[in-house]
Amino acid sequence: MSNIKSPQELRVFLEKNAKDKNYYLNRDVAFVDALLEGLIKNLNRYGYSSCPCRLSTGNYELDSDLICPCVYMESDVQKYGSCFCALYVSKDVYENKKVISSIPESRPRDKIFDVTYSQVNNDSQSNAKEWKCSVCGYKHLGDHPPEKCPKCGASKKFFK
Amino acid sequence: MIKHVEGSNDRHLVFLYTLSTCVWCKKTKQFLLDMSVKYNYIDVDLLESAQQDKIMSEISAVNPKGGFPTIVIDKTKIIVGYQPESIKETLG
Repeated sequence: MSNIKSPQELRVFLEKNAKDKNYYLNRDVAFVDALLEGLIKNLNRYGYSSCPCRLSTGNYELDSDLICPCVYMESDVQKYGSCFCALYVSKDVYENKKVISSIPESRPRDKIFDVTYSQVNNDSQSNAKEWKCSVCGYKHLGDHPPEKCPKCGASKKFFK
Repeated sequence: MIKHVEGSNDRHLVFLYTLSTCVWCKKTKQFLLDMSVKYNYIDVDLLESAQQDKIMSEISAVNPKGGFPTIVIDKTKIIVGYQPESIKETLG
């Protein structure tokens, strides 16, 4: 996602990604557009499109679980019919156009509250090395490669 | 850092912890506006990081699971997420 600059490009990416993986995007276009704006804002200020409905630290490693689609998305969609933001919905919700509502937070509490937002910002950028996913070309800046490529899902070992 | 929104319904003290990017937060703010509720809010993502630490510990005290928006009514009643029915019931 690092090369995406506009909401239109992001929409194309998300729609393709959703289709490839059998995910369903919320049918409410205005709702989705507002989320895309949030994703773009995060992409611009943090360098990655982390969840617009959660607070990012600005440190890639601490926020990596929040990069959209976040690691909680699939289980939340299964359990509640939508992800935390309601960007992704279940097939059932999609087809029946059911009304969805806010769901509880599934992210572990320590990841939200046991981090120091004031110290982590920009830390990883200092001696950062560029890692490239050999599967999809995604570039990651940091001391270590991410656990999982946020773009294609390839594991750490594919980062060179 | 705290923003004020005026409204004719000022019977309750309504405070929101929100994110500028969160759509459930936007819907909650709009719902309060439509109900003419007077409220205050903080967009936590727009704060300086040192202030974020302080505010996140405030949120953790009232909403241990986390999540935005966190709504505090009359300093005691907590509503998490976009919950128009609960808001309506509480603010009447």
